[in-house]
Amino acid sequence: MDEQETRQAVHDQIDQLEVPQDLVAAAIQTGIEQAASKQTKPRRRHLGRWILTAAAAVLLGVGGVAAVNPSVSQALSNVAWLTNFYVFQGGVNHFSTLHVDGTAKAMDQRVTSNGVTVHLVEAYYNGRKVGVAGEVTGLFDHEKADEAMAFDLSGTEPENLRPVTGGFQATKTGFRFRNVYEVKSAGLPNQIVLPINIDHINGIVGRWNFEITLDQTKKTHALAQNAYDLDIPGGEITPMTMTSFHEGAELVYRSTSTGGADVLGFNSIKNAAGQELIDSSDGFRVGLGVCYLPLKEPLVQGKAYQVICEIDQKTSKKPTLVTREVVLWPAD
Amino acid sequence: MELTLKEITWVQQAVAGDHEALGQLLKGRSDYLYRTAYLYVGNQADALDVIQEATTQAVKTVSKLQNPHQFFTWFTRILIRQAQALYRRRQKETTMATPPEQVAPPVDATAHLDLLAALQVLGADYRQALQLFYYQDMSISEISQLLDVPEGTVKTRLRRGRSALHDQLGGNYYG
Repeated sequence: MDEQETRQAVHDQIDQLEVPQDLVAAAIQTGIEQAASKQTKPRRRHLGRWILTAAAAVLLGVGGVAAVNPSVSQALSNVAWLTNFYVFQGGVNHFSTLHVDGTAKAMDQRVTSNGVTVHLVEAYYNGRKVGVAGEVTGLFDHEKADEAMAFDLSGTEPENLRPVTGGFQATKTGFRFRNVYEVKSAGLPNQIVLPINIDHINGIVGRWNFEITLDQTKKTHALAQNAYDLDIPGGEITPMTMTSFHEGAELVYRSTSTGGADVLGFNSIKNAAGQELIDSSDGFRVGLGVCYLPLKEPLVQGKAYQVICEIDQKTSKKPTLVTREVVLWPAD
Repeated sequence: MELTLKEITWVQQAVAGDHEALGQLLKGRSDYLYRTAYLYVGNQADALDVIQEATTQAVKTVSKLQNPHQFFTWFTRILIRQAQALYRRRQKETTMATPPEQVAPPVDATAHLDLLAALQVLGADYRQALQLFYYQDMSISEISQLLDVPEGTVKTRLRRGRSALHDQLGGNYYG
């Protein structure tokens, strides 16, 4: 019996273990309620209010970079910084996505006030999402780990962004943080100003504002809004726009249900070489209606791709997967 | 573990603080979670405790999750850590006759032991390695990182664990 067969045999045997569904559901619910009851607001110690602004204008994308901020053109490498961070996180909640994504730019901007320094290390803007990573050092009582976990970036996002994911991790000297925001509106702005407000760190309240101007070169093509000829049960998918960015691309489509589906969309797009084109490094939202699908590279007009459509019916626990060959960007 | 589009949406909602979405996500894979916990602790009550505690931990830390596609890998790690902690507590509560270096206690050759029962009598390190390798489908490298032990140690535990199962179950099932 080879390794794969052994694995299958183990799965087969273990999968016979009877599961008390109601009790498991109750345990999960109790676990959620238990966490909610334990989550309390951290204690705040107001040390007065200070507002600092560092105008750190950075142009991401192509052209004119050095004229705006010379440090960007130096292409500072943060690989060591991020690698250390990754190791520190134990590989569970890694913070390497910004760098791995390939679009992050070194910022290296610092603001210090009353002994607390906020170091904005890098940022990226892919036209749909904005990500920042940095480090906060100073004035930390590392003996009080629970209280130190009260680091909070809430309220950082301006009106046209909403937080998607974020996290922070204590280091020997402070905290490292990474936050990703999504552009709210359907339109893609060319520029975004992102202040970084830190509401409280270890009981200290203050604001360290970095005004970051992010620019993204993009080219959007409106597609003929005819539903793809997919012949899938329960609904249809209609293309809307195809946008190419300096790094990556985005296909916008609309999915509509014609009977019972509550999720309908592409979960895989492969080119002729079998390479997956959907960029899931930051995730993407799906459901019925308009979907903004991040791609690793722009689609080619008139070319056929192998797609897998997923249809989740309200009445079924398992989704239906349908593989099709389709021209996603039809010729004009 | 491949996630469906619906699950990816739930993960994103959970990361944004939606506890209900987290609950739906976990309940949708309750079979896998229960069996994983049960394999560690060996009884229903403790398995449910482990799931409950792991869920509590997940609610507290899910906002840090970066890649939605890694949700169940991430949650499995929490689950396993909770199971390990409970297993250690149970070990302290019970007088263990098994020497630490012994892979599995001697068993009555006439007794019938199925796979689950055989796993339960293995030393915790060996059972853990076998479970992660064969049921969670982790690579030796991934197990090494998760347990924070050298890859050679993982290989040794797998080899000895397989050998102990072979002794108990007979045949070449794990040979």
